[in-house]
Amino acid sequence: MGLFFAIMFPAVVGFFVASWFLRGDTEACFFDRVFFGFGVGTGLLTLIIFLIGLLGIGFSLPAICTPLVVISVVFIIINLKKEGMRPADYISGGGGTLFTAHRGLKLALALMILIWILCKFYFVISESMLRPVLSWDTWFNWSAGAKFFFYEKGLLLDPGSEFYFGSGYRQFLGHPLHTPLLQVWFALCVGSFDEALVTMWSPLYFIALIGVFHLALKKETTALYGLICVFFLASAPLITYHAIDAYSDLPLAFYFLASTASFWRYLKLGDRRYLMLSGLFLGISVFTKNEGLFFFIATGAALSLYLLKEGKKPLAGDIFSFLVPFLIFAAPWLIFKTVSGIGFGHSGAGSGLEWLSDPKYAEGTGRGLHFEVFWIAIKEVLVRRSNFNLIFPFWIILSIWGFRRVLDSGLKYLYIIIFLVIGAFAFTYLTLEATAVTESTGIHRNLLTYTPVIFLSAALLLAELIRGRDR
Amino acid sequence: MGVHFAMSLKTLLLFRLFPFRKKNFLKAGFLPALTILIIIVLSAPQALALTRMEGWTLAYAYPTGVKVTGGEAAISDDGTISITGPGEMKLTAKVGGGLETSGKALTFTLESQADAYGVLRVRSTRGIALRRFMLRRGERDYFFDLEAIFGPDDYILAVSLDFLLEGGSVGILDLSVKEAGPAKRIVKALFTTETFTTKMINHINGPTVMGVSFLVAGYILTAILFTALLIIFVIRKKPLLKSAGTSGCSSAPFRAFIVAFVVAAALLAVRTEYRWATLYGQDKVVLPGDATGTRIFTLFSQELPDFLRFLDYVKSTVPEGESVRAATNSAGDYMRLARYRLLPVRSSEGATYIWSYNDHRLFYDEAKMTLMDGVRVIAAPVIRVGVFGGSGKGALYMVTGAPRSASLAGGVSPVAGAGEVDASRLSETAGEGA
Repeated sequence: MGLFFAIMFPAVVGFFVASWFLRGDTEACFFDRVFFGFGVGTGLLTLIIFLIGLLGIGFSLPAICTPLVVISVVFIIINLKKEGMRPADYISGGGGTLFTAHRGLKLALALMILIWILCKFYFVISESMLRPVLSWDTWFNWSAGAKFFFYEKGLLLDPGSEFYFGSGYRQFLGHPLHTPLLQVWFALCVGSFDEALVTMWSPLYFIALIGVFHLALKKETTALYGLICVFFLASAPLITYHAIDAYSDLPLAFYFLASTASFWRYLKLGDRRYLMLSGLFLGISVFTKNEGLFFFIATGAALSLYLLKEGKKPLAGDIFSFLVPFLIFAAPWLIFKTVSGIGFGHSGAGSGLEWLSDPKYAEGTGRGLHFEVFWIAIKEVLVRRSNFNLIFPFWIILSIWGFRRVLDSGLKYLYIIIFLVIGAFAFTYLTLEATAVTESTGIHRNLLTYTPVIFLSAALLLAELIRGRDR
Repeated sequence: MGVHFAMSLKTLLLFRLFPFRKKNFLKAGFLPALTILIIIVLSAPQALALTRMEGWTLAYAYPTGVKVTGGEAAISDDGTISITGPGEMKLTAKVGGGLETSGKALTFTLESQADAYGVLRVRSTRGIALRRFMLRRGERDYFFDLEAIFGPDDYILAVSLDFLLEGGSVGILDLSVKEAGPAKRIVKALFTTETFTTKMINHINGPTVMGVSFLVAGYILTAILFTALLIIFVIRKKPLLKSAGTSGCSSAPFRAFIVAFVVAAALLAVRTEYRWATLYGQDKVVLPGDATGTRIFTLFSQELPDFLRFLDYVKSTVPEGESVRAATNSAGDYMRLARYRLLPVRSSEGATYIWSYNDHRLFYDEAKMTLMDGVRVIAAPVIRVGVFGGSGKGALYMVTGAPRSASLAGGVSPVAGAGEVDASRLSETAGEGA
């Protein structure tokens, strides 16, 4: 019962909030609200827990649930009064279903893939319930702090304490708190820090990621095409592996994909609420992992280029639509970091860039530019590991093939986002984190965070090429 | 939009995706089908055989044991460790609790099947000492004089040996101890200390097929399919894809590219799913009977390590509201794991309760109620609350008065006459061993 509540409560709150954002899209269906709502709801949940912790209020279900109930009631009222949304409107919308759109062999193929996907969902949920916190990195980076916060019922922000903000348990105080606080939430609902059940959000992010991906493609193409693409995304081994452990890269991947899918919809429809949703998801991603800032900068740059190219006026409305939701979720964490002197790197205050001039940094790799990482990265990603199936060579060849189509369509903005993200990570590997590549520690996990967006861009481009229409 | 796309997609899906019509299915599809069949037949035995062996992520050995990077290690009953692997290999071990070095030398017998560069790295309470040496083919003795590097009161905390084989050749290295003394004790500490492994989340080691990674096998399959399909398309000389519009997707190379990748990727996906299915089958049998907190060790070690049983003992023994600390803090990751698993019992520097595990250097003087770390006092007066297990490896103490000193990590108070450890005197020497 506690587990059911832990899952459903944030999902329901997020459902009502997401419904407002999706109101203007007639193609958005019930499942759009569910999957987007799950991401919004969990983001709201951890933001509230964090704010409660900053205020020094002890973590408890009433303290956490009360603000969220208020938020959901406010959105229900707004949806009813301003948007005219009746209960039936929450479950309606969207285009044809799988059964109305397809017949014969196509329907059989679609059903086969659908059954496979459902089996996959069953697998990740069952494995998550069976397996405890699995990997050394997970408990080291995320679960140790979560367990400590759960038993302390707060963030312990007394600067004089040896346990300040989880010191002694959290190796890197600068790591964001979204997933540790999710573990705290599940533990509070279950009543104990059960090492399997506190990770149950992980398969749910997997399911939500698959759902958002499929629905983004379904709106542009067909349900069957979306399902075929889902088959390849969901079978990527590292994504499945992360779905049954509690690391933060899968939630980050979800938020980046959800943000990009929203941004793509904004490009298509011009609906600012989608832009708000994109900013909102990026705000949560900053509270999920420090790399979320890369995604924000990349998406912000793509938006700026779009606005400049389209000559949209006034610009302020679009810019504020993007920035305000982002800041609502990201600002508390960033302000707290700045005020308390917690940095973005692996030690102390600062951006991490000061390491560039620190001769003691990166023992074993040395200071300077590590150009060797390029070749090692290519070998790692394209030859050595099969973490993401064949998507990277496929995407590269397809992008070359459809280069003109990319330039002629809105896809170029997705490619700008992807290339800026790759560039940001490449800069990090070249300068600060060469071992992430040379010792194969971080590069694949980093790839995981934006590979779903690469899948999305490849699927959209392929659809464009199959459609064969000149724009 | 969706309807238009569906019409176009229809031309590419199912049977129309392939360059044949239903009536001449066997004839036109013979070559790709045969290719797929051959590859499946050739790869199936290897793939199935490797299912149980493949590692899904990096195995992580806790540092009181031996960690081997770049090679495989095997330890014999007589304490000889064999390392096998190509190129660069590294043998790392931290010594639980530290070993004194006073006036002794390290002498190793190393037998290698290839020339190599070697670096002995010894981390002690004083600093890090490096000894670079040439590892010659055959069996030789290597002598490392530690007396010149460390003082009589220094302690070895970690030892590592790096080997770089020239040209990436495969080498076998047998490491054993020539003489008694600290070297023997170090190796004993390395090889008999309890180890257990867990996983890292960074990446997955997929299966291999006929000596190549599954990804490379996917490339080979893609290339074969692409070539075969292209030939068939060219032979047929007519557009089989009745796609609307002018895009390049109606071209033979594009169709061959899509089909080849889709088929290869689908095979990889199915193989991956098969692995997950077997994993689920194993977990479903093995795991449900265990308590949640012990399952990870059931998975990786087949049994709960003694150290973790000891932590459970500490957790259940310490009164509610009290905190604990470790007597020594030399094995960092063990300490982190301990802190995590001991919760809700806090680990605090000022704790009343002190635990020790597998620390041969610790001595409890019952008469003086003093807990000693070699010649240093860790805390006094203390009483021993209990001893864990028949071997007496673990013990729990309680400080009965105000603690006189902090733990080793917090700054050890030496007994009268002993000098403070000068960490700034980092010793680094380079020289030829043996």
